[in-house]
Amino acid sequence: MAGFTMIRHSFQIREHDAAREPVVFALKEMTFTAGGLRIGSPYGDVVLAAMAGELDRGDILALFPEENRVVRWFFSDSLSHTLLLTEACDQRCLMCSQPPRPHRYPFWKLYAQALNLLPEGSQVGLSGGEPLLLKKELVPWLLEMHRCRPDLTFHLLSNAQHLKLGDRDWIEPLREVLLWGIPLYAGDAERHDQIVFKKGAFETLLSGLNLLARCGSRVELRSIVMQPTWTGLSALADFVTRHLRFIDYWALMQLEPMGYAGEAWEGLFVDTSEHFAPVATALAMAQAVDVATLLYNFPRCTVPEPWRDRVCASVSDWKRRYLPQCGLCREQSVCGGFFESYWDRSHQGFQRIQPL
Amino acid sequence: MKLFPFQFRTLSSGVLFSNPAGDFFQSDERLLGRMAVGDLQPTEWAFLQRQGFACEDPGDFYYNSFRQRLHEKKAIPNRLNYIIAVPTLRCDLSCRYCQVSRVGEKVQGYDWSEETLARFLSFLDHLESSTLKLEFQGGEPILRMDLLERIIAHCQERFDAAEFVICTALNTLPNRLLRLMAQDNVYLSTSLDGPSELHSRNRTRSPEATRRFENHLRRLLDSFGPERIHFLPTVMPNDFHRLPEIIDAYRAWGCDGIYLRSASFHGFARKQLPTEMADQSALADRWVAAYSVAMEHLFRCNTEGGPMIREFNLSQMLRRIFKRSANHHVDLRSPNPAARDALLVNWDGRFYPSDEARMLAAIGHSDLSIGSLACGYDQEKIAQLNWNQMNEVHESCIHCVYQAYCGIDMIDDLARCDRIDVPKEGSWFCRVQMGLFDFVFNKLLGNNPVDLFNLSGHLNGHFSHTPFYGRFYYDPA
Repeated sequence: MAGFTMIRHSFQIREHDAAREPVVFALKEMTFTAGGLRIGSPYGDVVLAAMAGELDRGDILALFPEENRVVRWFFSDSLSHTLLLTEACDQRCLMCSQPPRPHRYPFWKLYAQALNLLPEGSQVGLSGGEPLLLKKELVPWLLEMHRCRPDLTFHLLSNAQHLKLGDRDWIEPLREVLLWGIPLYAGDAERHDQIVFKKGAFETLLSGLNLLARCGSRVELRSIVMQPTWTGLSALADFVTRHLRFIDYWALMQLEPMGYAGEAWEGLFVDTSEHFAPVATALAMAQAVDVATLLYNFPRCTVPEPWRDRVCASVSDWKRRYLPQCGLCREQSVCGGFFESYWDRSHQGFQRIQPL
Repeated sequence: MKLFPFQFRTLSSGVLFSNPAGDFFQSDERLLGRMAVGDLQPTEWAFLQRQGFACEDPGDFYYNSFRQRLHEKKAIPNRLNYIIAVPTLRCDLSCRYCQVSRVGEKVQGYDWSEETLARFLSFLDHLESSTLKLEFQGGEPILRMDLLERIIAHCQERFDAAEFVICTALNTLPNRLLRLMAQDNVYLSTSLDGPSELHSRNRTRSPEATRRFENHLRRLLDSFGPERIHFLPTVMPNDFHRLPEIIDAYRAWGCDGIYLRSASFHGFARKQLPTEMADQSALADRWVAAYSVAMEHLFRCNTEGGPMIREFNLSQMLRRIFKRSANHHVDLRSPNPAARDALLVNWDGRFYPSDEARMLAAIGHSDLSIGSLACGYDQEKIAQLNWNQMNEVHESCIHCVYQAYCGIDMIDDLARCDRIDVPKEGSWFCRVQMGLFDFVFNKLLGNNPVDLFNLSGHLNGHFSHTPFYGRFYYDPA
């Protein structure tokens, strides 16, 4: 279980009768005691090594008695929730914020219980690694979830390397509720394949996208702005605006300084607060043909005013921090701020941070 | 590898290639020669595939991408939601180029009757659309404020979102019109021919009447701003050289847009200048030349600051080239089916496919009516018209490099040549559009920062030096 999603919110059980099946529940009662945080669970009260304020009523927790551990899967106060299904991946992107490891988390029954506790209309993120490596189990689970909870929508982060013509059978019935988040890093095979460290990935990706287009699926195309993609941005925009117009929108993303991106930060990061022009060109090319665009992980003030309406507060709230000078900014409430992990890198980060 | 159908044309800077889905690039004769015989290098195939001109196999990624772009280029909205209503043909002005053949203010029998009004409101009630754009034309529609008030009140109830445009000469400014304008989905459109003296000569026939009109216009602009009050000129052949002056007059009025529009060969304009109007090719060439000079002037003005002006033809052409579904403007689209998304209801309750179609009927030239409020649509006639409103199947158009962006104008051909089966190449519409598209593509290919700044403003509404299209030159060397 180590390294599970949201590891910083998992807590050791101190007093609990072990050796029972794992269980999922929504947190209702909790009291802070000298020994820790006492919470009610389907197995009776348990005390967690947690601080007051770390958990909230309504959080959805998974209790793993054998491992003496409670994991928070979903936050009570959020409309979107993410499950990390596996850490394995068939690509090895050179800026991966979560480098692949052979760890899988196939808790399908527990996930189903968790989803059934979600408020109406929630969005469930399905992330990896590469979730489609678990396609055999994932697909029937998704169809079943959609049957039980047609109000839920799903956001699947996938490299679209594992789609065959026969997959229409499940992609089409889910097309209204399943948003595909698919990365593309260059408009040509050579550069894209180098970045994802897999030969033939670009060609396979195109046939996957072709299938999704024909199924009428909703697609969020994701491209990272960094040194290896920098000079190819215009060619990438040309490719996207000509051949991928069926997408819902194109997200251009700044780096998250974790994993490989954290290690190789200096060789990857581009300071778009000083050099925004190639990003602006990509946005203008998309605007010219009415392809919608969004900017993820760009602090608001680093984006020139004409493009600021594209900025999303995309950094998850639990990873989000602000700099001291941000206190003066009038737009902080709509700004995604900075990744917590940005702290160690800030001297090599955005040079122009100016409160708005 | 397979090539999709493509078209080409030699411009001053090289050979322009395009395809029916609207993709384009520039190269030279050497590549053209090799494309013609299919003798292409792997790098050339790769370029053509990326550019949207080729695929490996039917059904593959590039094939489907082409199919999707083709669909976007051609799809015409299928819901009637734009209606031009002509509640009266009477007018209190007599412009010398009047294209609708107005009748005098006191003449009887050229207004909607109570019965026509009732039928029109019932027609609106039965539309599928929940939105509507309703344009009041004339004659002078504000001679019938009572009808305008009743129709607008009805539509505000009936539709989720409605817009109303009142096209008036503003010879008078009744208080009832101002009260109607208090609703913020009511817009006003009027004619301003430019400098006062030109406006007097063409429209009001007296400086006093022009001053009165200008006072009305100023008062409306002050009250409602240029977002709600639009105006446009009509330019007679003898005044083509005055376009820059007209633009300056619009700047002085604080306009952010102008539609450079030459008088068409309808109504009184036919009688005014029969010889100039008759030699279509020469006239078209003169218009294109004048337009190009005027646009250089406008581009220069826009870079010098002050209020930025956009010219409607240029915006529309750029939208046709770049945007995915710029298929709403009936003057520049193909196919251009009648009574699909737009319709005109004339003063006598008859339906027409466009404003120009009723103008031809008004002079007894040809009856292009496609039904009436009383009898419904004449489907047979609509089908007949539609077969001639597709440049995709017209022999003059299928090889044209601008076919994907252009339209087709059977009604203008009828007006000028009395028949629709003339070769398009010599017609006013074709010659003007060729010239205008040449102008646009020479600008797009020229990489001049001033042009880029202006083109972006015309396409997207805000002027910027940021490039909005990728490199599209292929050097076969």
